[in-house]
Amino acid sequence: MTASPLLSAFRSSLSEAWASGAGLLLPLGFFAGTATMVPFTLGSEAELLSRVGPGILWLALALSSMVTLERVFQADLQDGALDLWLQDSGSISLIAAIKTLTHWLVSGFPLVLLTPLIGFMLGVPSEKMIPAMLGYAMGGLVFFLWGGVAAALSASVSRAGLLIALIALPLYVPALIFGVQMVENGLDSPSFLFLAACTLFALGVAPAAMGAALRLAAE
Amino acid sequence: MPDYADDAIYVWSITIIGIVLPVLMIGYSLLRVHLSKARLERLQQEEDQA
Amino acid sequence: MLSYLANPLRFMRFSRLAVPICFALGIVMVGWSLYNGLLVVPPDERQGGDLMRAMFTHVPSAWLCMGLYAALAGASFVWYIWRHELADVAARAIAPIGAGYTALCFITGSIWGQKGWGAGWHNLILGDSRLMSVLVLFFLFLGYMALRAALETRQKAARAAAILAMVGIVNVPIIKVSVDMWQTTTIHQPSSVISIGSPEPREEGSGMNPIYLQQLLWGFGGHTLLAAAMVMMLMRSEVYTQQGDRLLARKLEGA
Repeated sequence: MTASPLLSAFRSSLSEAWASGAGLLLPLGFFAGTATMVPFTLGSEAELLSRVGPGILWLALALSSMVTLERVFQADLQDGALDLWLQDSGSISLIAAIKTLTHWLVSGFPLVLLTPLIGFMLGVPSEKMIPAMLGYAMGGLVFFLWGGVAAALSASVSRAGLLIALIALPLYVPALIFGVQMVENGLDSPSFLFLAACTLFALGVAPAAMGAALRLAAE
Repeated sequence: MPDYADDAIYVWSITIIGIVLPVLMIGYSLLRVHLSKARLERLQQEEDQA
Repeated sequence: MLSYLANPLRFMRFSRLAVPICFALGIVMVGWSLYNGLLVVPPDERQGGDLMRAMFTHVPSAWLCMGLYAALAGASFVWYIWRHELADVAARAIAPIGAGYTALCFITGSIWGQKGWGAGWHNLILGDSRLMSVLVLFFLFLGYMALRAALETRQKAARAAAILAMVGIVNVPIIKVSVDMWQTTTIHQPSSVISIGSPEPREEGSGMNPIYLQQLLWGFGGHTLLAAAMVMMLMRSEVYTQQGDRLLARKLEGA
C-alpha cells in the first residue's frame, strides 16, 4: 500500500478540520473561552483557581474531542469517500487513525500551546506547567482515539452527538484520572507511566476497532 | 423481627431494594416474553386464516 | 453444550424447562441467604455490627455485574467470530439485566456508604473506588444499549454493538486500576474508615468467617440463577419477535 491514500486522508481531514472554523483560531478560542469562564463559575479565589482550573480544562478537552468527532466519519460515509478507501487500500484502520489524529492536531493540541498562558491566568504553579502540557497532549490523544471509535461506531446514526458522548465517556476515565494525577504529582510519578501506557494502548487498539466499525458502516 | 437499632433503616432498605429491583426485572422480562409471544401467535393466526 | 444450544429451536426447548428451574432454585437460594444473613448469623463487630447484613444483598450483585459484563463481551466475541445468531440474541438480552444489577449494586452500595463512611455526597458516592468502577460499568452497559437502539438494521446493530462490547472489556481492567489509583491518591481517607463498611471480604486481613462467606455464596448463586433465567426469558422473547418478523416479511412478499 502506498502512502498516497494516507496522505490524501490527512490532507482532506486537515482541510475539513481547518475549514469548519477559522483554522486554529476556533479551538484556541474555545479553550481560552472555557478558561475565562472558570473564574466566573468558581469565584476568583487564587488558591481554588490554581487547584481546580487544570481539572476544568481536562473537561474542556474531553468535550472538544466529542464535539469535533461527531461528524468526522459521517461526511465520508455520505459522500462515498469511505467506499473509495475501502476499495483502494487495504488498511482502513490506518486512514481512520490518521483522520482522528489530524483532528486531534487541530482541535486538541492547541490546548497544549495555550497551557502556559491559561496556567498563568489561573495561577497554576510554574513547575506544573510541563506535566500539564504533556498530560494534555497524551490525554488528548487518548480522548480523540476512543472518541474516534465511538464516532466510527455511530457513523451511520444521523444525530449521534449524545450517543458518542455516552459511548466514549467511560473509556475516557483512565486517561482522565492518570492525567490529573500526573499534573498533581509531577513527571516522576507512576501516573505518568500509566498515562503513557494508556496512550500506547489506545494507539494500538482504537485504530483496529475504528477500521472494523467503518467497514461495517460502509455496507 | 430482629432489632438492628441504628442500622435497621439501612439494612432493611438495602435488602428491600435488593428484592424489589430483581422482581421488577423479572416482571419486565415476563412482560417482554408475553408481548412477543402474543404477537407471534396473532401473526400465525392471521396466516392460517389467509 | 453451547454449540448444541446454538440452534434456536433447541434453545427454545431447553429454556422452556430451564427458566422455571433457574427461577425456583434462584429464589430459594436468595431467600436462604437472606434468611441466614438477616436473622441467623451474629453481627460482625469488625465490619460495623448489624450494618454488615447489607453485604448479603450488595456483594452478590457486585460479583454478578462484573460477571454479566464479561458474559456480554463473551457472547459478542462468539457472535463476531462464528456468527452464531443466538450469541447475539444472548448479548442483547444480557445488557438490560446487567444494567439492572449494576444499578442495584451502586444503589445499595451508596446507601451502605452513607452509614459506613458518614453522610454527605462526597463520601456517599466517592468513598469507595469499587463503587465508582461499578458506576462506570453501568455507563458501559448504557452505551451498549443506546448504540444498539440507534442503529437501524439488526445486522449492523449487532456488529457495532459487538465491537463496542469487545472494546469495553479490554478497557475494564484499565478503568479498574485507574479508579483504584484515583482513590488512594486523591481522596485522603484513612483506610480504617473504609474497611468499617467495606463490602468485600478481601479487606479483612484474616479473611472472612465461613458463616458469612457461605451466605454470600448462596446469594451469589441465587442471583446468578435469577439473572440467567431473566436473560433466557429475554432471549425467548427475542426469538419469538424474530419468528414474527419473518412471518410478517413473508406475508408482505406474498401480498
